[in-house]
Amino acid sequence: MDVKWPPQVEAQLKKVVSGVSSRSVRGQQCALETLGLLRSVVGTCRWKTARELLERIRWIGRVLIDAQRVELTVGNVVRRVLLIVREDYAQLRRNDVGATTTPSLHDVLRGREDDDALDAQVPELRQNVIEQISELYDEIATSVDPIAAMSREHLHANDIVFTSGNSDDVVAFFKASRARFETLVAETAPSMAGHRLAARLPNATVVPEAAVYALMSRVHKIVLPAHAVLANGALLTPSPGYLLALAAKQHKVPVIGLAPLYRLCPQYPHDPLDLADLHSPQDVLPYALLPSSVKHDTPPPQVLNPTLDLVPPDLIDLYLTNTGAHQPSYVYRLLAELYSPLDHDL
Amino acid sequence: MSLVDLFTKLVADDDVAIPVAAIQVLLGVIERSKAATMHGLDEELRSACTELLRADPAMLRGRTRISLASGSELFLRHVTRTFLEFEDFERCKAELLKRGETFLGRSRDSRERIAALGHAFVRDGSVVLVHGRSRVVIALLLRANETKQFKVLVTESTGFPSDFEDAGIATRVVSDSAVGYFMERVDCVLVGAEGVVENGGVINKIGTLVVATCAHARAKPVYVAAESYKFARVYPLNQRDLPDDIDDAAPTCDYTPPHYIKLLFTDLGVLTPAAVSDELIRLYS
Repeated sequence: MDVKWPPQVEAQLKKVVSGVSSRSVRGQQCALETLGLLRSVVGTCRWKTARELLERIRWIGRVLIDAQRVELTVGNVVRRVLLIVREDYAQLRRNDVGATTTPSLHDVLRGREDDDALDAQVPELRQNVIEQISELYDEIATSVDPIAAMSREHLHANDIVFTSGNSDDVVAFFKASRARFETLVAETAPSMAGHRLAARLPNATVVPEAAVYALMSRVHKIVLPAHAVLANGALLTPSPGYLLALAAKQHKVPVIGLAPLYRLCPQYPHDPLDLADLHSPQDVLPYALLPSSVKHDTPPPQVLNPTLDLVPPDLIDLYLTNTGAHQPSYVYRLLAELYSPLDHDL
Repeated sequence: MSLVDLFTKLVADDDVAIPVAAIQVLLGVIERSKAATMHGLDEELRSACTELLRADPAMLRGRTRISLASGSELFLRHVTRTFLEFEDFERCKAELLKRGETFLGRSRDSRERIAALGHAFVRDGSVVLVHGRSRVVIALLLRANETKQFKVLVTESTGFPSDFEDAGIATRVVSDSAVGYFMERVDCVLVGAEGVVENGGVINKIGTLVVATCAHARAKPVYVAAESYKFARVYPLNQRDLPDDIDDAAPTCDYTPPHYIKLLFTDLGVLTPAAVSDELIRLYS
């Protein structure tokens, strides 16, 4: 699609693309910037029908996703906005939103009324969609508060809690608890994000990954931040999250994932390595340290530096989202409410 | 022509699934019905269902009554819900027939829809173990074959995999008792279903339980591909809870509990076993 954007949107698009592709904006920030961009698209672009609007939003979505495949929140936010448009349109047209949601067993025989091609012009649509986007913006901006509020139920006095990575959600979750508990932080080599997390927490002990298993018998709870939650309930989390979860299973330690709704993705992990976010091997094995004989050997040594772990759903006990606590087996239900099946492929 | 004869004629076509044939027969009952009230029509449909379910199992040609029961129950429920939607009896009847026609027209598409949802789970270079001759499974693998290269192991009792050979998929027949031997090199197991029961478990060709148990022991995912009209309101807890047309001396079907199943590919989407009961509750509550 050859699109002519207003200069203001063009500039904003460039800014977001450069932000996500350089990975200087991530997670929540990234979700909010995408949403801001989509708000300008809805507000300032020329479009007449819902179909045209959906097409434009999808185009933006594809550009942003191509710019950074690892940042799954972008696709989630775009799909949320697409559903907003579909629902608002259906509501303004005939007070029936059935056709946009996930099909149920009842629809198998009943059949679904075809959309009236989304081609009718509804003047109120622009205003309604912008209002709903603003609501979504607030929801995402404050999504950590309800999660942090749950820490009182989950973190108790004298607990020993294990975590990894360096996530704002985890910091907020720990700080909201009034109980005095101890925190163990996996150092998360080679990025050493664990060191930075420990500096933000009171009462934290940094431990190397190699000591995870040895310490697990004393731990009461594992808290893992979500990079994303996938459709089967699997958790994509900074490594060594999988290591923690596997050790926790041996010692029957409960594992809690912190997952604001904008991190729930409708994709399935078809190819786990695709999601691993491989970084430069320089941090694992500096090139300068290789003897020259190895450098010229064929084939050269392969060094992998994945930064994300895919934890299968059966190792997670509970997800804390901004709408409450859910089991991994319930994730599909949340997804059915958040996205339209028509938008899974952008 | 009696209902049973009509049904037998319909399922003689290998491409027509049993629940679809049952629904087609019931639509015929509505069309010919002289009942003037919703209650009267409901009675007629119920007795037609009983007649089909009581008939000689030979007409099912080796398949179980589970899917016949699930299809007709789904239809009866749909009729009840349609009654609630329309005040006028004649209009309601016309609407039932219209929707029925659309359903029959689309029931063949559901196989394609499942193939489109499920084919991405077959990875490039993987080995897929297939047990039981399911048309959905065949459609799914043929679809995956368009973009990927993979190997298929077919259990001996499934029969000769001519569909796969014709499509150029590397296929190997393995004896059923060798499933344990081959499981270590399998990446995923793919089976169809005669019926999907309320807890998300499946009733399928005998041997599915062995294959699934074996896959579970080796931590290999078991995927089930099945149309949603096979969702049945039965809740077996063990093999003896299966419907009585299964011969205990030489069983043709077994029940695989949900914890052996990773995901179900259905025309309602990709579901976890837990989601099946959710769908059934939403329809019957």
